[in-house]
Amino acid sequence: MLGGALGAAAFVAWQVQGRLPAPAGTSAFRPAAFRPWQFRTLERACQVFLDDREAGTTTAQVLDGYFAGSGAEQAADLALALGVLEFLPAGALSPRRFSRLSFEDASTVLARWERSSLGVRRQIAKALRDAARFTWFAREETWADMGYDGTWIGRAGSGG
Amino acid sequence: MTARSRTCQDVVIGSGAGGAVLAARLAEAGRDVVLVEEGPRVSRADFNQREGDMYALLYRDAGGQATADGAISVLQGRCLGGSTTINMGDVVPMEEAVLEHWRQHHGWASWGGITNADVERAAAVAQRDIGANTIPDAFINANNRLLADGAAKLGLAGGPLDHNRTGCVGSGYCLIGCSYDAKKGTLLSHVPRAEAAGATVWCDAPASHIEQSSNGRLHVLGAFSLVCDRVFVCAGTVHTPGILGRSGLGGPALGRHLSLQPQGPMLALFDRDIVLFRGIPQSYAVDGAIEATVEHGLGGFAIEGVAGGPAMTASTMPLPMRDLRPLLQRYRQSAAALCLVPDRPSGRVVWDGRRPTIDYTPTAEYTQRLREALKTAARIYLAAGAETVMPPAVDAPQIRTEADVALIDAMPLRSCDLSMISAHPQGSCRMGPDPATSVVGMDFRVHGTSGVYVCDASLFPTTSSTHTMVPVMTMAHLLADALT
Repeated sequence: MLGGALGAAAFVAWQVQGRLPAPAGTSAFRPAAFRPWQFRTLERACQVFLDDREAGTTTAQVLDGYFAGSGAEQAADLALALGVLEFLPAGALSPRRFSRLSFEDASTVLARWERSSLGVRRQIAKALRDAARFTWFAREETWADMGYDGTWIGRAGSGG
Repeated sequence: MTARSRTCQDVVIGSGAGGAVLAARLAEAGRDVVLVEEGPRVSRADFNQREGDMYALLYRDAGGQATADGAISVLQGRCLGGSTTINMGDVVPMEEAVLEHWRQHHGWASWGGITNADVERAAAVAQRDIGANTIPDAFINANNRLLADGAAKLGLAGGPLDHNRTGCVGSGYCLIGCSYDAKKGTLLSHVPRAEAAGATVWCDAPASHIEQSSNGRLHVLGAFSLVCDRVFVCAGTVHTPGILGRSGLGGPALGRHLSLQPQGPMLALFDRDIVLFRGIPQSYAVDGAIEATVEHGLGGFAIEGVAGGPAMTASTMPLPMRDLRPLLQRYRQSAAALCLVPDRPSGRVVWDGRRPTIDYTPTAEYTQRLREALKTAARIYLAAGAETVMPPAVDAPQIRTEADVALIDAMPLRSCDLSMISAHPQGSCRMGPDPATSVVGMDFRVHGTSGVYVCDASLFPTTSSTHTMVPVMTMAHLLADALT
């Protein structure tokens, strides 16, 4: 019931706010799976969960590509989740939008959501955190720092 | 594109441990069988060992399927071979006490004359078919060896697991498809057998629902149209109730009595390279605390090694990046285990027509056993020489001495506090004699139907084993024996 109410609120907000222009200084990337404001929400969440603005932007762009293609079946669910986060980051009585929060305030919001007593918030935070980190650390460029020496395909003696 | 359609005798939905075994057995008995698989046809050539590609190709929701509150990742295969293509390859048959629990407490006393000896024989056939063998000592990697050494120092019972690999090269990518055809899931065992016996296999073919026609035949509809005499729904614990529900079948127990057998992770740091991501990821189990009783079924806990690639590792640790980053930089010096705690049914799968909702709340009794398992895992790693042991959780205690282990008693274990994994969901279409409390009768047929059968882990009234591949295959052989 609660999830449905939050979802309905997000849907209404989506209809009203969906065509607002991007704030100055934000990414000029043209998303394929999401509306521009949804992408900015995703981008901000990825930046927080990776604690790195550039990595967050890159990751959000990769995720947008995934959800525009093979992940299209799940894109509607994520869009709904982004709506809830964007328009109700601090509860129904707060008018603040998530993507316009400072990096520090956005971090505080997501840290609270990860441990919220509301299952809907925990689910949204976990989904975004897992997606951001999985996507970033699936990139070969991140492996050297971890001491991971890559795949075995084609290695001599590996049988592959 | 024209939808595929044809008439046959038997339709099997799902190519995992239940469906592929049934398809092979029915086709070998001369039946005209069509096996439909929602996911893609894959082979070793597709398995490129890159997580970013493989989870999207092989897993349900790219590995993102979770409980409604986001607390537990529910990992299931969605490809030819189902979860047997992406599992750890562990072979653990059902224990007799579990069967007896079902007979005495879940109405299985009159299970069509099937005896424990029949079950044992079917389990033996299942194991033979997939080349089950005990993991040789030389194949136990450093990560699992730490569990063995630590447990030995503490006097805890354990041993190497049985598995279904032959010719393993130790690359460590079992969870994202074996590039070497070493792991003998149904992709390599029963699907080829079914095709050799004349079965038709359609991939990228999700099933929607089943309709009964006026002439008594069944129509199976989805990304195809099939007319048949019998349907075997083997789509797994989450999706089988969806297909039945959309077909108007299943009754009041549909989706209920869900067990997830959630597993809680434990991480340890050592002063030397462990390189947990190479070798067989799960080869040793500290399982002396597993209990199987007639009164309660499966209980207690086991501790087993585990490893994931960099992406899965990073995404399953719910820590702030400032805490996660230094841990990832010690990936090579890390050891990891899963605390496997068999649960009592306390969840439900609900379908709204498009997507499932997995509602699950662990019981207090489960949480207490999980806490005991985490403490035992911490002691094992300390005995093995770990610098630091920690459950990967927000504000988790850093355990460096035996005295620190007690900190786990004070650690919050709400569902949001620890990343949990379920690889063995069971019980949403439980088998039993009473249509009010079960979905499937003791002959595997959905109550009130004549030709709709279920054969996957959704059948089990309570958790069947610490690893479900062989128990499901066992059930498939028992059903095939009855029908052929």
